[in-house]
Amino acid sequence: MNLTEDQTQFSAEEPLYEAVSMPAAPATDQTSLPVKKKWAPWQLVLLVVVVIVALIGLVSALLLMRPTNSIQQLEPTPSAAPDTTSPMQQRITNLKQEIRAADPSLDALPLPPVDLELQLEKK
Amino acid sequence: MLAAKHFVSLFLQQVLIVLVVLGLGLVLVVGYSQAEAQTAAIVTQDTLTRDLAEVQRTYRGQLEEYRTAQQQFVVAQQEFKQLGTLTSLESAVRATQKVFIIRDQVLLTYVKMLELQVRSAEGIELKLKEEGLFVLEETTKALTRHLETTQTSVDRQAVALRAEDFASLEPLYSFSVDFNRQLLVQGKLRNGYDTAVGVFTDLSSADTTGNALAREERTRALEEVRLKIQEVDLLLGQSEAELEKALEDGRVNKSKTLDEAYVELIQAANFLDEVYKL
Repeated sequence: MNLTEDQTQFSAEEPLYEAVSMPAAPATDQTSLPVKKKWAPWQLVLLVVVVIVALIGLVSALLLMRPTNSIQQLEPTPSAAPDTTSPMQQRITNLKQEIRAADPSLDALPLPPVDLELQLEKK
Repeated sequence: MLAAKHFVSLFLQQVLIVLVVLGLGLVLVVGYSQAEAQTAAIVTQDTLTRDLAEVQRTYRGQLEEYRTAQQQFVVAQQEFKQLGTLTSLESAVRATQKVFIIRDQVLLTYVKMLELQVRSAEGIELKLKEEGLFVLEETTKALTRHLETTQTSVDRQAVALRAEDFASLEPLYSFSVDFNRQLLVQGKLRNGYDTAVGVFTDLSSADTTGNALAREERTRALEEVRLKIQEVDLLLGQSEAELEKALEDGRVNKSKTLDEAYVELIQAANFLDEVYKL
């Protein structure tokens, strides 16, 4: 009897364990293992860079999240004339110091205070 | 044709690799030798500084000893004059011998200090430096001989002779000390001159902004500085000639040239300061 032709019967009356046609699975090669994709050098470099940046970010975040010292740090009073000495001005200042140290009237190595005319019996 | 191209490409690659390896090797060798030279220079300078500090300590100690010995010498001599006994004579002879020995030691240490300073000083003309070190060496030899002889001189005549010996070596000592002290000042001023030239060169080549009038003023000012620095160079050259003459004459006169060079150099530095602020 053809069930499909009889509209009065319920589908539940269909015979159990009837083979159900499943959609065909894609054909795969069961014998070969899945091949790992190799990383290109630029991908490796990118990965290293990303890891380094992430580490830096993590360390920075940890440092920033550290509890700050509750005691307020004393700050020096800003001086009226901040140090704005340029390298050239510094060189000229150093030059003057260097020359002053060469003053011939400054005796860097004074003569020993000894009597060069000592005698047993002074004449 | 393709094979030839491939071969040429391979050959060029190999040449490039060899060149890179050679270049790296060269950089390493040059860097290493420079580092070695630098290290050697630092070590030498450190050694000199350490030696100098040690000699200065010895010198201070010896000066203390000398002061005590001289006081004892004066007392012993007065006692001998007053008492005229053999015992007081013996004490006077011993005290004289002792003060002679310590005086030689003080002078030897002072000469050593001077030698170390001259050796480490920059800006001294090489020939003059060598001459300076040579006379210091001769002085050291003469003082050492005198010291050794004095140590074995125990009687009145021998000690009296040591006084005469010292009188004959004293001119050499005074000359070498005066000559080298002047050399040190000469070197310091020459260094100052070199620094001034460097600052002047950089100031002259610096870009100037401002109007034409300011630029002209700056140019005139720089010309004045140039003349001043040139004058210093001339004076230092003159001073070097004086030192060479002193070697021939065996006598060092107090140099007015160095005083003048110092005054001119200070003025040049002040001028440089003014030019910079223009």
